[in-house]
Amino acid sequence: MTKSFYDKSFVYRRTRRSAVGVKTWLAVFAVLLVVAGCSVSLAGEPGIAELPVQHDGRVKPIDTFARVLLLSVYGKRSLPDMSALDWYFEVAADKPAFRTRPIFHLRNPELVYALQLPERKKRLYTFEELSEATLKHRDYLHELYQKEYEQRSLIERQLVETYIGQLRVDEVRRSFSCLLAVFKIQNPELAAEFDLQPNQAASYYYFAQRSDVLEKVIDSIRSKEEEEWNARDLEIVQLVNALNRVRQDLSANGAAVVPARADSPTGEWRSPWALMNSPKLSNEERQTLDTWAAILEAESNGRRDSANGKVAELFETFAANRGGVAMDSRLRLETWMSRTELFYKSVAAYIAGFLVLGASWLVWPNFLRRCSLALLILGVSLHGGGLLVRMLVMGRPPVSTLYESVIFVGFIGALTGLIVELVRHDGFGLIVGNVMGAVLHFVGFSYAADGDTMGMLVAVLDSNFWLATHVVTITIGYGCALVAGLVGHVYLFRAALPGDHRKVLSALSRNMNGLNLVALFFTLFGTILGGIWADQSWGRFWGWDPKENGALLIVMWQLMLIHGRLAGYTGPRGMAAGLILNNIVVALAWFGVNLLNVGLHSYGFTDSVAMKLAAFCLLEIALASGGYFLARRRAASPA
Amino acid sequence: MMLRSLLRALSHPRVFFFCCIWLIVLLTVGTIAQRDLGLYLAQEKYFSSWFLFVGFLPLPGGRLTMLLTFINLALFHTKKTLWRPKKIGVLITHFGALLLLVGGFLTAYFSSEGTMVINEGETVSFVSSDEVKELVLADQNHPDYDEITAIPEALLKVGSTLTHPNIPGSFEVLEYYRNCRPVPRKNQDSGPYRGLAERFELERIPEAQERQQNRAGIVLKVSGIDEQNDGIYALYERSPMLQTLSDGQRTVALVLRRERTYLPFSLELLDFQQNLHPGTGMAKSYRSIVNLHQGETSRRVVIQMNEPLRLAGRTFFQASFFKGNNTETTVLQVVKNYGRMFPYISSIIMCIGLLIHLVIKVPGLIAKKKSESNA
Repeated sequence: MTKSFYDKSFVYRRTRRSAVGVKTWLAVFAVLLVVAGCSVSLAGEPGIAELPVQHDGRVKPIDTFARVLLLSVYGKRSLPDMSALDWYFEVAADKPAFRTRPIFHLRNPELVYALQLPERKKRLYTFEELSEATLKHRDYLHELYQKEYEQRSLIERQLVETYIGQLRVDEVRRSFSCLLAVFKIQNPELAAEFDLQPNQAASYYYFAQRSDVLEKVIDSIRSKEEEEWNARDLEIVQLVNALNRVRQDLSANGAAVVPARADSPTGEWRSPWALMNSPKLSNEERQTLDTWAAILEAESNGRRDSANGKVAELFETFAANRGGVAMDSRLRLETWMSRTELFYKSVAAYIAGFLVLGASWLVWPNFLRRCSLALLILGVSLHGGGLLVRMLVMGRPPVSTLYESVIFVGFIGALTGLIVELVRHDGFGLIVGNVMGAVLHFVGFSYAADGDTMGMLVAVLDSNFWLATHVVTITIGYGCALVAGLVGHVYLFRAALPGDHRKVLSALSRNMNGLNLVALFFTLFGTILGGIWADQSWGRFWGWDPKENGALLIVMWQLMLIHGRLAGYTGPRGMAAGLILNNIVVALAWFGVNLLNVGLHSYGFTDSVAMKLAAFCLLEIALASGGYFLARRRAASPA
Repeated sequence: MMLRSLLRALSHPRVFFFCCIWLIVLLTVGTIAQRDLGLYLAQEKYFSSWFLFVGFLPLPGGRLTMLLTFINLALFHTKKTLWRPKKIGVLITHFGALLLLVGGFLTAYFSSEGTMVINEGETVSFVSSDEVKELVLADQNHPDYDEITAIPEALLKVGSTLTHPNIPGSFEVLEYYRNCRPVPRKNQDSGPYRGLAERFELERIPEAQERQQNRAGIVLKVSGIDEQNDGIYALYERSPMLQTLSDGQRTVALVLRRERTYLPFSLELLDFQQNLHPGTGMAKSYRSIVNLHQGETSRRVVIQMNEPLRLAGRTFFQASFFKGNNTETTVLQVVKNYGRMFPYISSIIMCIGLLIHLVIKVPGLIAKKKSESNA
């Protein structure tokens, strides 16, 4: 007979009591870890990672911007040998290394053929290679770009994506070209007129600030014939030509790092070039540009310390201009969040917890199970901490996008598992918690691969009490329903195994009913709260919108299971199979309705979701029906 | 006796069980059908219908299923076994559900939806129904106003004849379309045709996915005026051509339009504002700033996303907008619903009921052993 985690021999009263002490300490330790990590990162001076940039409607640290940009071209948030931030400054400072670094990952060999690039195993190309290729095929790419998104084939979409990726990287480079000190004047006389030493490098911005001097100097040679030009005059012409060449980047608008003025109607931040023509810069604007110029200078010489040292002062200026309101705390929190990658750590804890639990069924049951519990507690703390930090950074409730709902449901599942474990002490809650936490994290990561996970919301989703309560409640309901479904799996698995499990099965059956009731509570109120929100926003409680129908479908399914049991139609086996199938209903209501692409709720459409969803449904149907029949055969035959 | 056993059968949980399964089927099929039919038509076919015809076979539609559920639920409350302290949570929850269904019934039969379209600077005091049309006769013989006679859609039945002192001659309704389009006239058999009908006839087309896209149409036979005016007229919604009748004393324009309900107050659009997330094309908020004129007084009101104006039993929501070259137009959704408060009340009741039930039940259901829960 197989050893099982439900067997009595696995539970000792003594270990249980001592485990409480260990658990408490572990929990306290985990929370302290998160808090300590948080406060450590917020103490000390801000660095260049925290420099603010406005992008996609919000002000974010340049570090986040760099990660998302790199993700969009390279497919990952960092390069093998350098961070996204380092890479970003390599681009911004236009270091030669940037042009020869392979950073463009072409997703499909067909792209390589279409762009006539050299064939490579990893399909990684440098900026130089790709810009040459896109230049060669520019007309074709522009034609594709003009087409509607729906009209493009997959390969055409990817071509446009690649092209846009290359343009965006280039846009970042061009956006800072006015701040790079690349112009040198040899003539001492001329240099002195611009307050420069001979051969001292200065930027376009430097000369733009001294436009009156430049005008005067240019005027001085206007009257002369070309043959009369002396060395100074020749250098003026060279300088003006060089300045004009850089001036081609004037339209570059890929780095909105200069804060909007207080009287700006749109609140739009501006890229350095947008200020080059302004006759009068505000103190804040000048300081921002000066600081950026100094940082780029330091970066291009490889002096990171000196670059970091210039940031604190800039933040002081920002704060002074905003009546003392500091801007950096959220930015720092966000940078810290993306650096620590709490969710990667929590998923690691869940996986480790599950593996350790598996090991506990083979050797050292008590010790390993406690270790597994500790890992689950750690995972839940990190997971919850991550959610909390996100809430602080965004200043909004934990769930407002599909990605957030996935992460939140994972948290609820893990938390439910933890609570169940703390009540039962038999390893069952550990399975539920670790599996839910880990699986939904992975689902979440696939959504995070789309870019910035903290995007802004469309008008109707913005700041509403009912929305906040509705979404949180319904996602808790999803979580509980999935946990109940997981118990359904366990029930059928146990019932199909040889041996006498009546005690265990009756306990599990009660668990299923209980969890289903809890899940019903949340899905029902989540759905009704959704209706109330719709009534507040659109004037109708119920509009038979796909998302609403999906939520109602879950509620009806759960009600059907409960009343089927009361009416005597479904026994525990049927209940278990029904709860497994409920997972399908949840998945379809959660992700599936977005595929229908109709109605007010279709905000999270993704191309590849359909396949994964279908695979999930088939798997669950197979598990439910297979488990059901095996369990029935087992019950029919005398053990 | 028979009645009693019927009632007993109807109050059994299995009725709900089957209703539930059928609703699940309807919901699934109806939701998928929305992809092709659009939200509104699918709703009419599957969810708000009494019967659903698959070929010749009438199947219960959403409304019938919900009525059955309602009866089942109502009868359920007569059970003696339910009125016990242990079941208090169950009882309260089911009562809340009953209220929710009552609210749904009130909303389905007594609510009305319409829109109010206001250009910037304009004042509007009526709501146009989303669903119901009216045939309007505008008597243009008064120097500074038109005298309007509106014939409600309910009277525009095919085959009926309309007479009224305000109607010149008499109208016979030959055709009525919920959605149609004008096409060049092919048959000439039953003339004489007047106005638009001289060169065009109306062709019935399937209802559009969005109700607002429908163009209702009507074909009228006018008789009893004189040679020049008697004949067949065709009217359709939002037609660019104004058609008139004249009986010597007065000239009357005929218009088919969305039914208007006049309000005891009016709204003047001062400004429509759309804010974007900085540096993007993504809307952050929309708002209409209006002057609410009530009698002699007026007051400034802001209607925006999630913040409607509630007045005189109606609620005005920011629904949509148009932007012209130099004008802005706001579209307000206007809803009148007597069942509005039911979901709020019933959800509180159900919440309390389920919580009580959970507190009674769940500790025993989560715990590992039965004995622990009883201890």
